[in-house]
Amino acid sequence: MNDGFPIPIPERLPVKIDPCPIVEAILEIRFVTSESWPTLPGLLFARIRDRYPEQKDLPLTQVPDELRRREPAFTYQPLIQFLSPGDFLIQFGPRVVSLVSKAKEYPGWPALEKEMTWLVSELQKIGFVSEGERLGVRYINFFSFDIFEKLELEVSTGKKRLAGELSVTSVLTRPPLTSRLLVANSATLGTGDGARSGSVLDVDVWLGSLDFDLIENGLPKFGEAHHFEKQIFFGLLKPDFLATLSPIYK
Amino acid sequence: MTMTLPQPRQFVYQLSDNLRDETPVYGVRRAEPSEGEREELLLSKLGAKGWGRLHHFRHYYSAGWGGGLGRPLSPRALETFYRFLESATFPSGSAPSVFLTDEGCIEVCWEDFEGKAVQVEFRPAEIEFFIEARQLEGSAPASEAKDLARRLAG
Repeated sequence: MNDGFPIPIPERLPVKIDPCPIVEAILEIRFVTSESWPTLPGLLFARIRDRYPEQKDLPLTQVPDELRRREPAFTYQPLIQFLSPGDFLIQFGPRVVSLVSKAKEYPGWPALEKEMTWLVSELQKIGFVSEGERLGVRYINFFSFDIFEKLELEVSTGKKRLAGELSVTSVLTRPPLTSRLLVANSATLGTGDGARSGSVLDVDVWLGSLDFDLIENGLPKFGEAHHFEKQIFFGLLKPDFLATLSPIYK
Repeated sequence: MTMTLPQPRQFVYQLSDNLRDETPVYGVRRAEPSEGEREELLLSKLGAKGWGRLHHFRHYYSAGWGGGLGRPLSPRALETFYRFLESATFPSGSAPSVFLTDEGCIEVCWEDFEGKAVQVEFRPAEIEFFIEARQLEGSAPASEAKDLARRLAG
């Protein structure tokens, strides 16, 4: 049932496709805290260092604290990454913590959900999250060809379809969930010698502050946001293109 | 003198030069969905002063403001406040005043048609109010923000 939603929602959603186009998956919590930022990395690191033994400052740490706080574009940016030998890394800033899949290979939702369950339990033990502000799930998919030809999505002027380099961003809502969809056919994945050109399909889904409680229902809410993201992704793919991806259903 | 701020973080992809939005270079950022409507709402219901105060509370009052004990603005209180404002109609000429409490909640005060005070405090899960004309204090769950707005400022 679509209820006027502009993307056709498939009746069944695959659990796996091959090749998998996911290059990054991010589960993010934006929050407020009564603790000052300088104390937070130490508090978190003490709980996660067995799994994430290495920490790395991100470039934004070079910006003076006062300037950073006065620039709204930086409010939810992470300042530190905690790195592990496993499939994930954790990004952390004064108002955000996120679990990110490493670029090489997406380990699948069950593994991501399991790691997030552990991370949320550690956050609960530390107790610095006074209140959740936004709970988000973001999947970035990359294709080495022009993805617009394969999607139930087109941009036209009159009856003429726009071709050439194209980027489309749209906000889709199905309360309480909101999604920002970005599709572009001219993007570069990675940097340096390994950089590749192609298309991205970037879906960010989130819930606002009144629609979740991190400790009480955060994990099932991540599941709902992930399900909505999958509905958008698979709803956009033309059936004949999906068939070429060898979809596996439960 | 100009300076270039570092990129917040290395992103997994970059749009091509032709598609890339260069506006951040000039200090313009993309608005969050519904942000424009909310700015309009604040301006129309609270006036420029109220809008400015709320902007400061949102962006410049972090943990420890006001001498060390002030809490940052509660996102739930703010969201409830927006929902209240959508249905509120304040008496003309009565500019509501907006405050951030030590607990990170929003308090709004205005005068009713008789010039008596109405005070409403938006907390993370509930709304507390005081109506001077009736010497009435009360509270309501955050989910009833719109109904309460029609009762108190309708």
